[in-house]
Formats: sequence, C-alpha cells, structure tokens
Amino acid sequence: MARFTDEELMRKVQEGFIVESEADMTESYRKALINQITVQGDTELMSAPAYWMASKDAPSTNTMVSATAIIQDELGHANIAYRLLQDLGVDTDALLYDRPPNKFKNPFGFDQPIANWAELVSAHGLYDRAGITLLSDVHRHTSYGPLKRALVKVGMEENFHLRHGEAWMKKLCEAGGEGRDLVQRAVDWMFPMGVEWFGMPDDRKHHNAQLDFKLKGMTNDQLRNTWLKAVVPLCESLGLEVPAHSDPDTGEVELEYGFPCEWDADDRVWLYDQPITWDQVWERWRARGPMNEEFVNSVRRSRGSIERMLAA
Amino acid sequence: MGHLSGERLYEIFARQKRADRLEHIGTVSAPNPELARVYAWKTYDEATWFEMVVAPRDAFCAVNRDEVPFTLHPVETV
Amino acid sequence: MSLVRTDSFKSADELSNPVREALAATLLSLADNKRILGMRYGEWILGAPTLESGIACSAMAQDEWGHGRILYATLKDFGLDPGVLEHDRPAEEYLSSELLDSAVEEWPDLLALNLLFDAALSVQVEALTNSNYEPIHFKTRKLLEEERFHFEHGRGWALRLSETATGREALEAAFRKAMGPSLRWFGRSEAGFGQLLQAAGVSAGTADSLRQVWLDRVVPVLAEAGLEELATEFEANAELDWSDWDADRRRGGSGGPDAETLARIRGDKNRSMLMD
Repeated sequence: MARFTDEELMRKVQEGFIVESEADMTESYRKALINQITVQGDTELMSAPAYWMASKDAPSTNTMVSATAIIQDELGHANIAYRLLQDLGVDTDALLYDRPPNKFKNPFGFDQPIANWAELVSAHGLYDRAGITLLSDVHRHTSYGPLKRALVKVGMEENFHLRHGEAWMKKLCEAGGEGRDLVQRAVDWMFPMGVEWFGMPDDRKHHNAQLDFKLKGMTNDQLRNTWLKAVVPLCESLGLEVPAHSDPDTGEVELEYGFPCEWDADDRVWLYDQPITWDQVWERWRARGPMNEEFVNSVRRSRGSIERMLAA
Repeated sequence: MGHLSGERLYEIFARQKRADRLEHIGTVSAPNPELARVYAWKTYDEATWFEMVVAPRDAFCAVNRDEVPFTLHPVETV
Repeated sequence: MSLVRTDSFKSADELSNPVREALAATLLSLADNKRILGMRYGEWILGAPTLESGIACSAMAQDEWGHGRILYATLKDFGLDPGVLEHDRPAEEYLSSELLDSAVEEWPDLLALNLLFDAALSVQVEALTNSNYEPIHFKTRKLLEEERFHFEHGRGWALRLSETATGREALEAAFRKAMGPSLRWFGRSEAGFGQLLQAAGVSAGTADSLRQVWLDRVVPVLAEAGLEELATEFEANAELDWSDWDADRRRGGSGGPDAETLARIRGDKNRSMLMD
C-alpha cells in the first residue's frame, strides 16, 4: 500500500484513474470505501426482513412472487457488497453475524415495521428510488473498478423494484377505497423518512472523503434533490398529499416543513411544527428504530446452530 | 455469506448468448460444487444465460501481476 | 414407469368420470402442496445458514408458487374456479401433506422437505409430462427444469451436513420423519387414483411404480450422505403405516395448514388489495 499520497490519489482519480486493488489505495481511501460499501450492504440486507414482513402476507400468489423476487435481489446485492468488503480484507463474518444490531448502518427507515401491502409498495416506490438515486450516482462516478462493475446488475434490478412500487401505488390510488387510504397513510410517514435518507445537509459537512476520492459524484443535498424531483411529482400525479410541492416551470421542489423535524415513535407520525437539530436526528438514529434487533436477528436465526453442527 | 466452516469461494462466468465472450459476473461462497452451481444460478439470475460455469477461486493463477482480485486475501479453506 | 397409449384428451370433459376426478384431485394436491411448500421455503429466506442459501430458498419459494399458479389454472378445465381455490377454502379442503402443516423450525427439516418431499411432487409431475390429457403438456417442462436445482440444493446440503457426525445425526433424524409421509403421498398400492390414471394413459405410473421412481432417485443421495441404514430401512420395508391415511386428501391425519399458514396462502390480511 501507499503507492501514492492522499493528494496524489485524489488528483489521479479526478483525472479518471480507476482503482483496482488495495495496492492502488491509500489508507484514507480504503477506509472511506469500506465505510461506503458497509452502508450499502447493510441497507440492502436490512431491507430484506423489512420487506418480508409484508411480503409474506401479500394479497395473492402472483404478488407474493414479485415481492419475494425483490427480496431475493436485495439479498443478492447485500451479498455482492459484503463480498467486495471481504476482498478488501474485512472480516465479513464478524460484520454479519457478530456485530451488535445497533451497529448496522442501514437507514432509520429499515428499522421500521412495514405493516401491509400498501406500505410495502410505497417502500418500493420511495425507498428503492432513494437506493437508485444513491447507487446510480456511485455507478456513474466511482473510482473503484470492482464496485462499478458490480453495480450494473444492482442498478438493473433496483429499477425493477421501483417500477413495481410505482405501478402498484398507482393501481391502489386509482382503485380508491381502503387501498388508496393505506397508500396515503404509508406516504405520510415514509416520505420524511426518505428525505432524511440522504443524511446531513451540505452546509454541515466541511470535508468529504467520498467526494475527494471520487467514490461518489453528488453531494447529499444534490442527491436529496434528485430524489425529491422524482418522488414529489409522482405523488402529486397520484393525488397523494406530501409536505412538499414542485414548481411546474422550474421543476424545483420545495419542502413545506422545517427539515429535520421531530418523529413521534409511538404514534408513528412526524411533528412538522417541531423542527430539531441534526444532533438530535443523529441521537434518534443511534437509538435505533423498533425493529432493528428483530430484523438483524432474523437474518442470523440458524447460523449458530449450523456452524456448531459443521464444526463438530 | 462468508465462511461457514468448509466453504470456499467460487468465481462465476457466463455468456448471455452464443458468440458472446465468457465474462466474470460474480462470486459465491459454497461448501461443494453442487451448491456453488445452485447458488450461482439463483444469485445471478438477472439474465437468461446461454451458458454459466463456476470455478473455485483458489484454482486461479496470476500471470503478469502479483495483486489480482482473485488472489488478494485468499480465503482459508477450513 | 410407462404410459399406456390411448387416444389423447383435449379437455377434461372427454375423460371418464372417475378418471376426471382422480386427475383433478392429483392436480389440486400438487397445487396445494406447492403453494404451501413455497411458504415453507419462504420462511428460510432470512434465517438460512448463509446469505446464498437464503437466496436459494427465495428462488425455490417463487418457483413453487409459480408452479402452484399454473396448476390451479389447469383446474379451470375441470369446472373449478382458481380464484376460489386460491383464496376461499377452509383448511380442511386443502389436499396438502401433513409435513407442511406448520412452519419448519430447523434447517435439516427444511432440507428433508427440499430433498424428499419436493422430489416426490416432481416425480408425479414428470409422470404427467407425456400425458394423454394434452392441456398439461407444455406446462410441465419449465417446471421440471426449475426442480432440478431444488434437488441439487437438497443434495448439496445433505452432502455438506453429512461430513460431521452431528450433522449426519441431525440430517438422519429430520429425514426419518419425512420418509414415511413422502412415500405414502403416492397413495396405496391397491385400487386408487394412481392405478386409474395410469390405466387411462393420463399418468405414466401407478402409486407403486412412482414410489419406486422416487426411491431410485433419493436412495442414492441418502447413501452418498452416509445414511445407508435409513435408505435400506425404507427400501426393504414397503410396509407403510396407513392407519391415519386420508386417501381423498392424500395426507395423514385430518388436520390441514395451521391458521397462520392458511391466512398467508389465501392472502387474508391484504384482501382489500387483491387485484390480480
């Protein structure tokens, strides 16, 4: 390692150099990359128990098949991410099976229960849109070759999830009745989760190794805006209320609440009239949502007993 | 994922249609070739492959470089 | 296993009453078992020993549900409404094996369903591949292709577990529970649906001959996995216990899928959003 200094590597990757192995990296590059892929893998992995919670009660065999196909993709993507980490010398076994549940780096949204079919398809429509926004930026810009290659499959499949979500949101909204109401209720709590998904606003971040090393191309605020510009018009076209509106001339989206704001975990509602600081958001994230432990443990259910069986 | 005792890594190669090149498309961990085949086929199902093969990572030999993806951090077989 | 060549049948109306009923029951039994077997695979998407095996369980679940859909749809030709079959039956009308009544708690038990019972269903499907009842033909090929990977998954895991003494014991205990119900699923030797269907050229085997095809398939894997004793025990001893056998529902005991399973396979919880 240390073929280059950080400054040299930063300059090289900005000029188009593609990192292929650890020998090309600096320690800071490796750290930033490992952190990024861990977040990616944990997010994909924890989407699986969240999605299964509702998929197992899908309204029909057909819908159960498509919902389960999405879970299968997510597990495949998690597998790809952890495999990349393994090739960077990370002990992924410890990461997956020994890490305390509250150390998983998935977004707060995947610490929440997904209660019914309307919530599931809204999650596909909103959260997978967030995933695509983040990952397609990484795919376009990343200086790490193995990740760029892996993301071809991931991007293709996430697009299918998104289409599934949007098509079903539309279907339920057009049918009206209980299904439509459930989608509105889902969007009520999921939309602000999605806004938070992209993390701290740019003016709070002074230094960004991921951008310097070209592990991604867009800033948090740019990514958040990209998501808002897709999601808000979608909701507007479906007659769904969200606390934001888009300007039909410029296409720009404006939030109609003080972001970030308080989340009432008991009633699962956002308190728009109670803005909070980013330190308070971090505190809430660190305290984790209600399903965090159960979701992590569900992935580990038989691992210990089979490990012992095979070691005996 | 990972190293349940006795597992090793298998590299997966596939071509989508006749005349295509065989391309490296991914990796799975498996305790034997039977499961490596199933895992490869089911994990990398994004295309209807004309042909897919798997080979253990530890069978690859570096030719011109010391540091290649398949030989870095070799996985211990238990 | 051989097929009696007679004239082919283009629709269920052309079949004699007893043959029509026996075939409808066979198709429904396959459909019900596959729908529920899919749930049992699905319950291991998250809890499997490795991410890869979880992914395999997810794929197998989807395969089984897809097969179930295809099979329910074939029953339209028999005057049955697939919508009702899929969403509106009580537990006691399901023709599903007692092995599938509730969620499987341990991985080796799932492997028993995977290697033994799933293979029994495949043997019956294979026997319909060249059936005189033509509507079933083109539906079986993709299905059997997918099933090859299910069997390979079961075999790969059986081989792996059999490498340690504790693994082999766990495997043997799980397989022992599933052997009898899997063997019985083909039905009794004496007059029954198997014989009727075979004589009409609708299915390529009687209960006994299909049972033998199944044994020929699984016994070598049991032997490979060091479970020779279990293999010999069931191969040599064709005397199965039929005391609680319900021939109409092709199952042991009078139960059915438990309440949770039933609600899931019918889609009760999200019924207001059923829009297929």
